[in-house]
Amino acid sequence: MIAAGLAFLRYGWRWGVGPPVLNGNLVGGLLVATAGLVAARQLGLATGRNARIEVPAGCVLIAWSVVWWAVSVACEIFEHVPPPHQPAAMAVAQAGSALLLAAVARAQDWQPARSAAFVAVPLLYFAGLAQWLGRDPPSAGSGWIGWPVALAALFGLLRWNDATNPRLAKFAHPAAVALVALLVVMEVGRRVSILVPGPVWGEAAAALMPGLLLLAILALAARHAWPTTGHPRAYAIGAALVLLLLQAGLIARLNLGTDGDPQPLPYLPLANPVDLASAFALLCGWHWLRQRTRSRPLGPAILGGIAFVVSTVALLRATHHLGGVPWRAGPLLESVLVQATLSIWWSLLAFAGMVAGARTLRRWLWLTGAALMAVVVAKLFVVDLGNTGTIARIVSFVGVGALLLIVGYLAPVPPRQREPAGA
Amino acid sequence: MPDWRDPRPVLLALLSMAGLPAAAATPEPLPPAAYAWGWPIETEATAGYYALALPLEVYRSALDPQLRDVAVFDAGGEPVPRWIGAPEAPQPPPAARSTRIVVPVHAAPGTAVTTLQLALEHRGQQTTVRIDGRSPPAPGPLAIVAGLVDLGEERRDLVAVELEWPAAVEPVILVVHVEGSVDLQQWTALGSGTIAGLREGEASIVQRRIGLDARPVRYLRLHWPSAPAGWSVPRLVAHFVPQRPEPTRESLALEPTGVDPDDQGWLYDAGAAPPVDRLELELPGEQALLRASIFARLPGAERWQHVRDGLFYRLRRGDAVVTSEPLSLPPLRAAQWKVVASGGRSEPGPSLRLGWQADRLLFVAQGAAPWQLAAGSAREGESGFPYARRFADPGLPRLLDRAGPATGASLGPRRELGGPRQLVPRRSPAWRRWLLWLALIAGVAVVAGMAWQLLRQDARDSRPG
Repeated sequence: MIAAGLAFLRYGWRWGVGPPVLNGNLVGGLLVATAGLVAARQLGLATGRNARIEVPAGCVLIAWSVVWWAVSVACEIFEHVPPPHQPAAMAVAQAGSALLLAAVARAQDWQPARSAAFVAVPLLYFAGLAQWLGRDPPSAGSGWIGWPVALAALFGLLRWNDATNPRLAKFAHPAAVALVALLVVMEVGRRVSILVPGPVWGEAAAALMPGLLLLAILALAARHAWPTTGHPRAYAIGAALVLLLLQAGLIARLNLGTDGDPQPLPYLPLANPVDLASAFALLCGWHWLRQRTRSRPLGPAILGGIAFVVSTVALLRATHHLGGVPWRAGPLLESVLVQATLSIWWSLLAFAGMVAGARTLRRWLWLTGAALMAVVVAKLFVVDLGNTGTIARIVSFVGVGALLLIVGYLAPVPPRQREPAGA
Repeated sequence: MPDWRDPRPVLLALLSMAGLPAAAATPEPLPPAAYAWGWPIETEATAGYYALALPLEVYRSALDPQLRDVAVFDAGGEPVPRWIGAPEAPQPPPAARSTRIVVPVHAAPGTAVTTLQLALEHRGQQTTVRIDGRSPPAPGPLAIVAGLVDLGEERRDLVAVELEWPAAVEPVILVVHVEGSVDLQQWTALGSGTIAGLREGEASIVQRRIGLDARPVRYLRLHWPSAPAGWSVPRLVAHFVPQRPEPTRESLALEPTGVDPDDQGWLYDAGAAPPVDRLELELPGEQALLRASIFARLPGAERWQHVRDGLFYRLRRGDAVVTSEPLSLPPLRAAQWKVVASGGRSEPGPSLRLGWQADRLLFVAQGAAPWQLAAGSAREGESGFPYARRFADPGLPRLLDRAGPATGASLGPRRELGGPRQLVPRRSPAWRRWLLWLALIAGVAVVAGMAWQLLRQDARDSRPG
């Protein structure tokens, strides 16, 4: 049978011959796949003394069949479906094929084939890749109906197969959530970019989407609703981390790839799409951390570090829009205004950290604030001192000095022995 | 009090914020009247698809530097698929070869050819070699010690020669040196090789070819340290490397429009952003030398991008004028240019000549002829370039190639479609601005509310007991 498949590939495959569906490529490919499945099933039923060979051989035959089926369907779609409809058609066809395989496997009580139906997840990623390579939002063409149907089929399949192979399901669920997130990000980002020219609004709206999905997942988990009930850790940790990472990537691209000009609206500090999307992402991360790692300092430390970077970039953006500093690394670093503003802002953050650390007896927080204050003082002498005679230098020196005095009075270092364990 | 286990209000607010703009449908391609200018496309023969090179006028008429507001419409005003990209590289001609007469040089056997002063004399169809030997000719029989070849006005690089010899001298194995010259005075070694002619019954070994360093020469000198009696080379076949034909190029000379107060650089405005790949500074006066840096400002960019540094000159001695070579660069689409002198001076400012290969436009012969090209539409940009989104399929050229080579087409005179008012961006519709303000305010409220809730919960959790 494998020889027949290879021979068909070598001598039987012909592009551009025959009508759609009823052509040699698709029919031949599906026949090779079906023959493989029948052989695998017969092997499974006949498994006896040579189970150590027959079981893996059956799995290989199933894999062979799945590849033939998926590739034949994909080639048929690429050859006969117009480009705008290809990704959605691919998604529907592959998800439908996987569902069909799961149904046959269920009817036959055929465990390996039921596990093989999880292949729908990577196949839908291929369809998503085709969607990404095109320039249209997923709902363009027949995607408005195709993608929802395909995703419904995928989640139906996951629900159906939840108990079949829990180890696979543990990965399939977060992967499916990530696929949904990617599609929603593409849809919203591209649609908003059409409506509001320029990258800022589209990318900011897209960056909200993983956070919204995360909130939805956490809400479902709190209500013990499917799909989070079957795999609570897969959703609460796996899917949540994937969504947070995706959101972090989108926020990084938004912050570093654009100057944040919210045209046609004027730029307002904090109340602009980039800062709001960044703040929302940080709040989503905070909300998730509160539920997961309340007693561990690593998560809050990472989130605090990200917040520090995001707030610094937001400040640079404000100096660009309000102070006229060009949005490039060189002029930003050389700008006296930027350096003075950074000194004040970082010392304010350090001050807040030290006061909060002293008030809540969190020694690590106080030490972090103190370290940041030390960095600011070093920066004052190494960088800011070069800007002699400028108002900005004087303001930054006086401001930081005043904060140092106040912090010395208000926030002494918390005693080591009174620090709550693990806080 | 809101509970974070039920974040539906947040979800609804944010979904509505993101969903409102998303409700907009993908816009349809705009009609020809939405473009400022149009050109009738003139086609001579019926074909499946056509190709034309974009003239400077089209670049100047388009608003978008990527030419996404350049469209093709059929006679009914329906948009037609088109593709704009780099021009096709001209196909090189096949490798050239030509047979040349080798004029023999007779001298005493063993004479070093480098000691001979050679000159070619043409008398009608006959060409002879005149030898001005440094030493008096030795008595005794002469032999053919070398051969001279005049390649004529050939300017292509010579890469190999194939020698012919009389069959009577075989069997022969011989080392032959080949030198080249442009004036018969200075000779440069081009290469040497062993030629062979061996025959035994029906079997034979024949090696006639000598590979050479590729370079253009006028004269060839062949010589051999030793040769069998009767050896001569009456002819050779010269192999020249094919030269790639120079593609059709466009150029535009710009005069300075002002001076940048920051660096005193001369400013130039091309009024269009063709894919410039060659720059030339034309200096005023007869004796001028200028070291300068050239900058370009890409459309929409604030800062100048450094392009190239170069030494530019125009020097005259008698009737001869030497000018600097143009600078080559990867294609750069910029309308604004700046030249900053770093050494020397030019008064008045030099002319900047931009050179480029025009983009090629392919369009499918869809709908009824005559087709027309349209360019310049602010609405295209405001609508997210619906025409380009719908039709600019990067796979189109590959698809069209299957249908054979493109048929050429040309543009007629420019005419007004929607007129210059189509080049003026419209203000954002009021509803869109209001929608964005609403989204912004909702975003601020949601983020503030979320932060407040989290802070409260954190404070509640940290309370003892």
